Amino acid sequence: METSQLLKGVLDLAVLAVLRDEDGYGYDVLRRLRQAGLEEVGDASVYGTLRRLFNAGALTSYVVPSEEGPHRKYYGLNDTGRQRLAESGKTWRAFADTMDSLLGAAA
Amino acid sequence: MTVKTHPAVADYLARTKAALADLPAGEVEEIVDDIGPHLSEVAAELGEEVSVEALSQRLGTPEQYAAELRAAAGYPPAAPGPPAGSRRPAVATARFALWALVLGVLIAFFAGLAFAVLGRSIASLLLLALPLFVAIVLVFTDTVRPSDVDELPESRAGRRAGRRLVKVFPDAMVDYLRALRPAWWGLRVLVVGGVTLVAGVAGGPVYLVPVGAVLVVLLMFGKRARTDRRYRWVVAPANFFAAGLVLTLLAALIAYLTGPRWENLPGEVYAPSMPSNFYGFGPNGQPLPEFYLYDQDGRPVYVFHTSCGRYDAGNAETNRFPQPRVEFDPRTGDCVERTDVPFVIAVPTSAPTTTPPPPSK
Repeated sequence: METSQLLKGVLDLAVLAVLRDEDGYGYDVLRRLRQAGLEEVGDASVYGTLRRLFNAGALTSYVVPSEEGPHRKYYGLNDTGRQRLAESGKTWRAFADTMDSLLGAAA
Repeated sequence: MTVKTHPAVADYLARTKAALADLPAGEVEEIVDDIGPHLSEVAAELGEEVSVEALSQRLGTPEQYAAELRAAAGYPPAAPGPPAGSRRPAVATARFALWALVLGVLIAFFAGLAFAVLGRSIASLLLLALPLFVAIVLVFTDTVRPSDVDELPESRAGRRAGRRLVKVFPDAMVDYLRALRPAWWGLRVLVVGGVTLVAGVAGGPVYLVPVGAVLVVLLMFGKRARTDRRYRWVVAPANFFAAGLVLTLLAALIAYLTGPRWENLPGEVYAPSMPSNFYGFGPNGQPLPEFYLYDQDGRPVYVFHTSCGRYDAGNAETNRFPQPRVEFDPRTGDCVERTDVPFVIAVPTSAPTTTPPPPSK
């Protein structure tokens, strides 16, 4: 099974998770996801997910001027985002546990 | 954001934007703000051989990139291109949709401004906005696409004028106003919700139905209009209605805080806590059938008086007393205006001491 198929369902959760401790601009988010081991995540998918979470009111955004290069738009979690992260995290854990026990039984 | 961008990056970005052209301009701008720096960094990593092809190898073609972004962001799918000449965007219907929107927005703004005094004429305003409802149907059945509307010359000219207007103001101010947008999204719902509540309690269905409909539109579609331009035909009028309401409430608040309070209008004396009627009597206790009251400065004294509701121009505002008083017939419940004296008096019998003492020399 391809990881990219699995990713579709949980990219929201992954993006929220990498923004939990520190705000970041788009490329930051991408890099953090890749560093965490999600190499297959698509660039455009991450940007699209950021926009969707922002439009859903789970993220705040602000622009930080940079000395060299273009200004950077940072994203961060707000209360809604945090709440969503907690809820989705719970759902994910329950789901992963179920899958674990299922696979354990099958193996 | 005027930083030198590699031409290949600019090309890639332009094609991506073209593939997202059906989205609201603000949303496309946000996307470009996100992916622009990213593309520049990818280009920097590629070093010398930057080209659209090299970028496409890394990221997919701009069209694929846009499609992936669209799917992840939950934007509506791209409108399919016109199937080979079979359907030239109908300029006439697009033009109708545009002008119906403009008309609808103006009517909605006026309705918001004059909401409190409109009463039953709201129904006729809705009739005036009929073209808007037709346009909404056209847009949501995909008979007219927002991109068709954008291509109209008047639509282009409007956007150009808008951009020029924005440039007049300093960037910092524009950014600040942009940052205030979420505050407006909250305020409009608050105000329209409050007015809905008041209309429901005090106004009756004539007021409740339109303002309630606006509230529902804002709550259900306000967010979607940010990513799907078709919703503009529904949300923009609702927005302008809310703006009209906000302005009216603001004006009322300012008038309340700064305006005159029960101050006398020049030339007339209104006496809020004074008697509501006067009866005059002669020295023998006989009632005076008619007399006129003036104050120390010669200004007529008016009182607020009740009537049975008949409008009587001659009697509307007069300092002629006694004013007719209103009574309800206890048997029939009819309103009767009476001019007789409702009480008995005893005029002091001893000669008043106001007569000047006889001159004594």
